[in-house]
Order: sequence, then structure tokens, then C-alpha cells
Amino acid sequence: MKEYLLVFRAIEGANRRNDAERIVSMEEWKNWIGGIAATGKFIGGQPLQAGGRLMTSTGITDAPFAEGKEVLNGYVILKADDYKEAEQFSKGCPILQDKGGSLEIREIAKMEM
Amino acid sequence: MKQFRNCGTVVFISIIIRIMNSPGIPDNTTTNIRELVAALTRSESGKLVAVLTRIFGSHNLALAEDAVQDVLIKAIENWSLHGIPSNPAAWLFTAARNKAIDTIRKYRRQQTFANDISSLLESEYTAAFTLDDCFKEEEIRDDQLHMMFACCHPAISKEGQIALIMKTLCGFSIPQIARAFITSPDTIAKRLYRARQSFRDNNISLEIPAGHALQNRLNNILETIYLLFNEAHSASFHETLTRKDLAEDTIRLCSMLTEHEATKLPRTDALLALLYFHTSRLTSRIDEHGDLLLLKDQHRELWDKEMIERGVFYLSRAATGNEMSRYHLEAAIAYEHCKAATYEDTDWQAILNYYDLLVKLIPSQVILLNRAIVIKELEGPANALACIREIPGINFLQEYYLLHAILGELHKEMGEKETARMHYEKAIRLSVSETEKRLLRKHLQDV
Repeated sequence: MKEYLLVFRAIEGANRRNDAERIVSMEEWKNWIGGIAATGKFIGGQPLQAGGRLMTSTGITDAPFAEGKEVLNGYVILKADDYKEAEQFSKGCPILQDKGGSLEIREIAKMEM
Repeated sequence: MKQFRNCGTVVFISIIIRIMNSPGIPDNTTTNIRELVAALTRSESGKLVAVLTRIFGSHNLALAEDAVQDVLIKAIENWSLHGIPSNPAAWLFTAARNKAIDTIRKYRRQQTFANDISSLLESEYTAAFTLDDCFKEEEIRDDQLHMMFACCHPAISKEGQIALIMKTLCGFSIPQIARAFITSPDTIAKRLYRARQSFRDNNISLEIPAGHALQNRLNNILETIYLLFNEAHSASFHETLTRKDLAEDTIRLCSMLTEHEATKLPRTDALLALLYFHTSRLTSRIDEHGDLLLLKDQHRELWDKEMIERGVFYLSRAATGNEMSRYHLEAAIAYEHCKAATYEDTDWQAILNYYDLLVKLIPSQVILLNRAIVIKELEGPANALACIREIPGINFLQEYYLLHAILGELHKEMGEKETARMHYEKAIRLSVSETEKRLLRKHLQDV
């Protein structure tokens, strides 16, 4: 069994919701993750707050994530046999409904020890 | 959180004192809040502990109890500043839900919560909805049942089971439990500590067991409720007020069992009937001076008719099927007393028949002793005395006050004053209850 990181991106500012929509959206996330958890393969994950800091060797940039750009907004870690199964889980992810929403699947590396 | 765990009660009391002494708030409001929170502690904290234990996991029982304690403290603080909310119980549940979120956020890196939902609680994507699901009414009802099964797990000692039920499901404080059992708060605290330890060590899960295990575990719960109820009725149990509360609690717990598909068996109904019949007579057992009254001296118009009716309802429900448990027989005996308009109207023959069946089911000396009292009513003291002499192993009861109280009465009725006095004196010496001793002294004087 391998572990996969799912990274979510969407267009910053393009997916603002009113309260009612937010509840519907949260319920979708709960159902999607709940489905994975029901198979015992959900490890964890968190949504991310908008904004942030970008640090490079030359310094820190404040709020580099301009409106209209695709930005990172959350992640999930899960167990799957292979990419095929990870993709299967990812298909129902609510991020795909968001404007500019995308999902990147990455296998977590096991370092040689 | 940690310091609360050790001195929660102290903090609680100091806040009450602070609020009571604060000059800005009128006295009656403070008293109202204090009384309200005390009442809510008794009626709601059992539900709150059950749902939080379901969320945090049975290994975190202490964490759940602390969280509920915090919520109650916050209620006193908040309500004395902002007034009592329109629905105080709902306020407590919202506060408990928020407390659960805070606790999970605080500890999610260090520990896991309830196995099946831990990962969902730890993720912000799913925590809120998962918690809301847990706080649904029918979930909370089931949580209390699961908690009952967990508290009555065979790995926990009987006295631990009783203390745990009183603390977690009935919302009694450690000092209250200690007073009830005439022991020190320290002893109860240790008992609870060991019981919680068993929760952890035995990985006791919060669920209703299935199949054959259900039967055994349910029997265990019924027995514990029955013992708890007997404690509430025994004269050695202190404090009239707690006695009534505890009796009502056992009814509440048993009612929950009669409402659930898996646990509503005839014997559950029979136990509930028994609890109703006995509780209906509770207030008439004590006179205005706090002295015990015997059945024949009680004012029967004080008996709670509504409770008797409910008892009849459950007794008839218990009669479906072909099961005959001790609760059936004891409920039937209690009902015979309830339905007699006067002591003289009591159908002793019917009661004797039930006792004969009961003895077959449980050949215990105490039951045979009680049977002898029925023989006295039917055939007189000499035959009753003969019955007692024939009880196998009656010598084991030589240190039991009730044996000597009964012997005293029988000999008195037979005019054997000297022997009667001797037995009454011995009964007084053996009894641990002051009210009981007072009653026995009165009998001794009458010889």
C-alpha cells in the first residue's frame, strides 16, 4: 500500500461563496472525504487559508498570490494501491467543481535508508 | 486542561463562591443560576459525557468528563454576566460541541480520538459536519446506551460499575457518591480511577454487543441498575433527596433500554415495572420526623398512582413471551403490595406463590427470610419461625441485622419478651443506619 498526496488548486478569489453555498460546499467535502475514510484509506488533510508568504534565498514576498491566479488551497493524504486507485478516489473531489480547480496526485516518496 | 483535571471541582466551587460574593449581581439571580446549573448537571451532563466520549474515544473518558466540567463552569460564568439563555440545555450542547472542536484542535497531533472517525475529526474539511452528526438527538440516545454497556463491562468491578454510572451517566459529584455510600470521596475517586483505567486497559468499545454477548452484557446492566436502585432504597443510603434522584435515574436508564430494539426484552420491562412500583412508595417510607415507616404504617394515599400505572403497563409488556426472570417475580410481588387498598387487603397467598417461584430461581437465604415474613402473615409467627429455622445455611445470616429484626418481631408476637429483646438489641448493634436503629429502638421499647 502506497501513500499519495493530493494537492488542490483553484483560482484565487473566483470561488467566493455566501454562507449557504459554503455549507453546501463543506458538505460535499465531508461526503467525498467520508467516502475515502469509509474504506479506511483516508490519512489526513487540511484546507489552506488564502494568502501567504513566499520565501526564496533572496527574501520573503508578501501575499504573492494575486487574484485571478491558480493557488494552492488544500491537501489530502490517502492510501492507495497505485495511481489508478488514487485517481479513482480523486474523481469525486469537489475541487474539480471550482473555477480553475485542479488536483495534483503525487506519490509520497520512500527514501532509501 | 491539565490543571482542570486535577482541581476541576475546586475551580468550580471557587467560581460559585466568587459569583455569590460579587456585589453587582442580585442574589436571587445567582442562586437561580447555581440551582439551574446543578439541575442541568444532573439532567444533561450524562448525555454530554456520553457524546463526548463517543467523539474522543473510550480511552479518553477522563478528557470527556473534564470537557463537560469546563462547559458547566463556562455556563455559570457566562450566564451570570449575560443572563440565562432562553434554552439553557441547547446552550450547553452548543458549548460542548465548540469545546469538542477546541479539544480536537489542541490534541490532534498528540493523540487519536474515536477510532472510526478520528481522521475525519482531525481534518478541518470534515470536522464540523462529523461533530454535528454526533450531536444528533438519536445519536446521543444511542451514545448513552453504549456508555451503559461500557460502564457495566465485566472487566470493571461491581462497585466500580455503580460509581461510574453515577458519575458519568447520572451526573453525581464524587462527594455526593461518597455520601451516598457512607465512604470517603477519596475512596470513590480511587474506585473511579480504577474503573477508567479498565476502560483503557481493556479497550472497552462503545457499542451494543451483538449475538450471545448481548444477553450476558444486558443481564449485567440490568443487575447493576437493580443494585443501584437497591442502594437508593437501602436505609443505609444517606440523604433523602439524592435517594429520590437516584431512583428516578435508574428509571431513566432502564427506560432507555426498554426503548431500544436490541435491549427491549421482557426482563428489561419487568425490571422497569419493579422500579416504578418501588419508587411510587418512596416518599411514604419516611415520616415527617425523618423516621422510617413500615409498609403497614405507610399512608397509602401518598403512593404515586401514575407511577403504579406505568409499572402495570411495563409488567403487562413483560408478560409477552415465556421468560420468567427474578425481575418478573419481584415486580409481581411489588405490584401485589401496590394494589392492596389497605395492609389487611394484601393478597399474601399470591405473594407467597411468587416467593416460591423466586426461591426456585434464586435459592438465596435473604429471599427465604423475606418469604418467612409472608408465612407469618398467612400462618402466624410460630410457623414463620419454623420456616426460618429450616433455611439452609441460616447461620450465614447471623450477622445480618434484618434476621434479628425479624426474629425480634416474631418472638414479640409469640409473647417471648426476653428473646425478642435480645434479638432487637442485636439487630440495633448490627445495623449501620441511624434511621434503622431508631426504628428498631422503638420496637424494642414496645416489647
